[in-house]
Amino acid sequence: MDKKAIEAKVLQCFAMTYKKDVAALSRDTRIVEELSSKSLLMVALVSTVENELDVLIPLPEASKMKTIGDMVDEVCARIE
Amino acid sequence: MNILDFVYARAKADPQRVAFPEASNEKMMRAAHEAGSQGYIVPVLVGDPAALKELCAQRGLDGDVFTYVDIQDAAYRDSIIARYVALPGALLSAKSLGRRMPNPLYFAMAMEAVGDVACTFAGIETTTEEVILAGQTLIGLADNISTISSLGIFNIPGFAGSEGTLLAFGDSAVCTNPDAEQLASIAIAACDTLQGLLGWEPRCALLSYSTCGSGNGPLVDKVLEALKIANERRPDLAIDGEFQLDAAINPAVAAKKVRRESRVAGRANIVIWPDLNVGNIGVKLVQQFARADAYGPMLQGFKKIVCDCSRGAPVSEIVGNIAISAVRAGHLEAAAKG
Repeated sequence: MDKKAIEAKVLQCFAMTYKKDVAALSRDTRIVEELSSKSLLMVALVSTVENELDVLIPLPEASKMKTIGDMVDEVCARIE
Repeated sequence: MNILDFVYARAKADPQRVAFPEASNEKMMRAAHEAGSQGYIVPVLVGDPAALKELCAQRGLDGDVFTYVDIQDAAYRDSIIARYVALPGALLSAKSLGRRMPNPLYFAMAMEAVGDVACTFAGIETTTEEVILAGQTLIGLADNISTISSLGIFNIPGFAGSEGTLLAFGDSAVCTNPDAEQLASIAIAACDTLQGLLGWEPRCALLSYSTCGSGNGPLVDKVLEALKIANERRPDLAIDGEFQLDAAINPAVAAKKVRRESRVAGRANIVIWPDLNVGNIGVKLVQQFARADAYGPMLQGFKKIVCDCSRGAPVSEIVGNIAISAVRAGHLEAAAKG
C-alpha cells in the first residue's frame, strides 16, 4: 500500500472515530484542538487504525501525536 | 489510628486476587511474596512461569505462595480476549488487544477487566503515564468521572482534625490543571476512595483562596462550577466549598467564615486542591514543616482498581500499597454484588 492510500485510510479512520466529514480533515488537522481532547477517543482511533491497516500502534506513541499527519507517518513507518 | 494495621486486618479478612505484571522485578516479587505470605492477598504473577519460579528459588522465596499465569497460554489468552470484547464499552477490538497481550501489563489489565483478578499492581518498571494509559484503555473510567486522579492520606503530627491527625488530599500527583468538570471528578472519586478504604463518611472541601464569596474571579468561578457539577452528579456525597483551607478543617474559623449550613465546613476529612501546583506545594508543606507521613498516592477514577507504585519505593512501602489496593478492590466487588 502506498503512502497516499495509507493517508486516505487513516483519514477515514479519524472521520469515523471523531464523527467528522472526511472532506474536512487533512494531514494538518490538529487532534486535540480541532477534534477532541478525550484520550479514550484516541484509544478507539488506534484500535480502528490497527484493524484497518493491520499494524500495531503503541498507545504511548499515539497519545503524543499532534496532527493526523503524525499518525499517517507512524503507520507508514510501521508498515515499511 | 494506624491506617496500615486497619488496612492489613481488612485485607486479611477478604484476600483479593492481585495481578503482578512486573513480577520478575526483585522488589516487586518480594513485596508480592510478603503480602501473599501474610494472607493480605492472593498474588498472581503474570509472565513466564518457569522463569518466575526460577527467580523465586534464586531469591529464597517460597514459590507456592504465588499463582502463576502464563502469557503464552494461547487458550487462556483467547478466552480473555473473547470475554473482553463482549464487555459493554470495550475500546479495543480483538485484534488490537491480541497484539498487546505479549505485554504483561496489558495481559494483567485484561484479566482484571474480565474479572479474573480484582486489581492490577504495577509501576516499579513502568511509568505512571503508561500505567494510567493501559488502565484507561482496558479498565475504563468510572461512572460520572472524566479524569484519572489521585488521593493521598496524610498523618500530620499535631493536627487535630475531624479524623484526629489524618487528612486526605486530592489530587497532588496526576491531573495537572483540572477544569471544573475534572475538579468535580476528583472530588467524587476521592469520596469513593476514602469510603472504600477506611469506611469513613467522606466530608469533602473544594479549596480556594476564597471562602463563600470572600474573593472572586476566574479561579473562584472554576471551583464553584466544580461544586455545582459534583453536587448534581452525586447528591449523596457531602462535597462543599469554596473554602479556604482553615475554613475547611478548623471549626472555629468555619463558624466565622461560613455563615450557612454545611456538613463539611470546619470538619472536612478530604481537601481538594484547585490544581497540581497547589497540590504539590501543599504536600511538601505538611511533609517539610509538620513531618507528615503519607499513604499513597492512590490512583482513582477507574472502573476498577489500578495501582501505580513509586519506582523508588522500598519493599515495606510496596506491601502497604498492595494491601491498600486490595482493600479498595474488595470494597468495589462487594458494592457491585450489592
